[in-house]
Amino acid sequence: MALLQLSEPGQSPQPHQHKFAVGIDLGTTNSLVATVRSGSAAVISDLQGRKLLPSVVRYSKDGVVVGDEAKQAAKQDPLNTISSVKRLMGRGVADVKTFRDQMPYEFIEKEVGGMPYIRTVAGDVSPVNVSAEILKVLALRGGEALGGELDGAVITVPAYFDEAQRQATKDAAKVAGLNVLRLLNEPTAAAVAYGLDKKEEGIIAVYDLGGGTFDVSILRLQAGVFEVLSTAGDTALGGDDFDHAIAEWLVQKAGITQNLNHSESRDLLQLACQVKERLTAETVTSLSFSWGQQSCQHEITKAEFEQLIEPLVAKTLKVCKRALRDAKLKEQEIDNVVMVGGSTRVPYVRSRVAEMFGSRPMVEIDPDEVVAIGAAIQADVLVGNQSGEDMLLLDVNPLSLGIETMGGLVEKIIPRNLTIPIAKAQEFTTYKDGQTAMAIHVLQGERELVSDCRSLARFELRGIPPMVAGAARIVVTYQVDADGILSVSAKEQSTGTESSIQVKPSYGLNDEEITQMIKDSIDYAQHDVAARQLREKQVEGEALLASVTNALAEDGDELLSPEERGQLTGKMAVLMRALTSQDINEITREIEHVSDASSEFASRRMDASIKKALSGKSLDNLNLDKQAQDQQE
Amino acid sequence: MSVSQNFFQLFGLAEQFDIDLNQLSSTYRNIQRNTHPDRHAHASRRDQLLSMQYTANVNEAYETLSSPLKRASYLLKLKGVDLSEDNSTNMDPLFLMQQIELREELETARHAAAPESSLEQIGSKLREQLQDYETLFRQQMAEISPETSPELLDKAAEQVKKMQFIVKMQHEVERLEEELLDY
Repeated sequence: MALLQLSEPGQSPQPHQHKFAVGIDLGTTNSLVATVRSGSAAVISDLQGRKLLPSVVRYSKDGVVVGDEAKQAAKQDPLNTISSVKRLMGRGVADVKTFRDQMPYEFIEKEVGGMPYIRTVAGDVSPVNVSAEILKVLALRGGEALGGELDGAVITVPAYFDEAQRQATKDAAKVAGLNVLRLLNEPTAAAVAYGLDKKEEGIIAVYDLGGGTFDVSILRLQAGVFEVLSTAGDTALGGDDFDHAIAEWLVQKAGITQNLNHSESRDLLQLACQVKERLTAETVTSLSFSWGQQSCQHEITKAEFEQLIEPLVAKTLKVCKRALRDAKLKEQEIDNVVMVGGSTRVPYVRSRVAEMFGSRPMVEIDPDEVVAIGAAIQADVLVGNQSGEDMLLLDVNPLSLGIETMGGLVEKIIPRNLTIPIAKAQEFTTYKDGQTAMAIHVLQGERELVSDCRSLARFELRGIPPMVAGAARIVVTYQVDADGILSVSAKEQSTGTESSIQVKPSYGLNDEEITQMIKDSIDYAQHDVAARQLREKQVEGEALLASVTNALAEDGDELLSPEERGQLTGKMAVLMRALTSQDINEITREIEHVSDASSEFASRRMDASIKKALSGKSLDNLNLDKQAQDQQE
Repeated sequence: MSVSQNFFQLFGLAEQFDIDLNQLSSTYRNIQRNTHPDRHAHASRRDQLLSMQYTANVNEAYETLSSPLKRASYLLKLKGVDLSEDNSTNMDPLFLMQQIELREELETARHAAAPESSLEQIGSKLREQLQDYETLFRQQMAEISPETSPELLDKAAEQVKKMQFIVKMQHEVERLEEELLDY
């Protein structure tokens, strides 16, 4: 009676404890953290009641300051106070050159073409480090509000963020010590916040104009399923550009011919931002500005402002048309439009959008908070607090993925706007006798030339068994996961060898760099790295045991023979004992054993659940199936 | 994973060109509720990987069956005809003539004063043609059985090749629309 001895693993499922999860909106200008408590989602404020955390990080010899305090210091310490770091994530040094005037920092190129580091008085920092500092503050805020360490977070990204930008965001979360449950697209998050709030059904468009990025997504909501039909955007267009338009207008008007210093530039932009906000309610406003030994005073009307931003708003509407086209829909078929982002408070933006879609945009939920709220809702589901039966998010990849072929051309492997996760395979062969390696250059974009697309990474396949040229059959599988991140695997078909893949991200950090950053960011006075890693493994083992135990309780009798069940629970008991040891290697080994032992069971469960999903068929269809089957036999 | 299942079997649909698209959509959503990675976010890493593989397969199946052209190509593939490997360029000359004429109309539309209506006309001609070939394909596929000659399968494949041609033209019309109407 083996089962009696193993009473804990096989018997009653462990009760689900309430887990601590948050949703984080990591914005260009402001960031927020939200969570679900007592069934409703809300943004978490800091001790002073502030909900928005300015995405500004100041480095000094004494340490790091994040938020309002850092923002205030921006004027006197412009080179060490980093704002809008989101613009630098997953970008290369060449991209940064276009930001020159907005980003006066000292950029250092550590690696040819890699992500630019910023030289500060506290050392060289990568955009990933800077973002991690913001995330750390938000994580702390969340943990304090919930009363414990966070089990996970959903972090939002612009839907139009490419591979490198997403990976950089994930890396920043790792460095900040966060467990990322999902990278969620911002428009989808907003749709969730509205959709669940109003129990909407139909087609909605989300118009998301952030500080530095613009996204539009078109979704179908039906029976709790949020299906993204298409997404389009511009990662270099945002509310900040409205501020720049005003700033340039003033420069012209005031006849400023000399170059402003960093401090003056900053002042001018902040002034422009205030003017933009004032013109929401007022029809005319005055502004005064001083630079060098001079100063000036002018007035600007709402009409003049609207003229200045007209080309920018027109650009966003063009992007909307593209999204409609990809979704194969006309403007009239959109039932509702959701506005997201502070700059959508500008009346001109709202009226142009209303004009295009023929409906008044939905603005009930605070446009600054709606993304974090949606993320918090999903975090609650993913971490296991809610059953999640009410909600399913089906998102898409925003940009086509392809590889470089002969002559500098790009061949598309995974077209854009496909529901993710998605995987596509491609077959290659060798061109030289005895060739054992192959280089694959992966790019992202819609154009045909390599030079017009964005380089993602170079993959090197090694370990191809030496053969005659053309004999090898290497199947390369590209897989985009639910976070929108690509992974590549390769197998040589005739021998079955799995080739190893070395990924060299074009604008990212490799594993060693990340590990080093994580080590550096852990405060050695309080945490011992080894103890932390051991605890992480123990948590992983506990989670594995809990989920297999649950699975056994649900389907164990149906899908496993008594021998199979006995074998599995035997392995589980060994893992259970290993968890109490302090030996991380033993725990890792036993986790592997239980994973292997339960994989067949997991497959059977998946197949069974699919069969269950089909059981809603009508009797007619069942007969048709039988006929078809008979015909084939 | 039941890789022996084809896409039709996965959705519980009869293996034919005409399918109930509503049933396809609702079955798809039901399956996703069970397999999607979001459902397995707090499961073991092994389960998460499995869920991803299953879901990717379900997504591909849905994508294939949702599009009439992809569905038709897939039906041919199930019968052993893989059009992606077909490099032959010889096609029905009458069909090619039709396409050349349409292409000329497209060029004319490019320089016309009011291109919108010409493009709309070309668009609807293409849609009609597509439907005609779909009908032929449907009929020919329905007639195929172990007793009929293999030529019938070739004929059906011809219709799909024509459909692919037409869909390419449709994309060109769309591109031109975007260009001219300032998208």
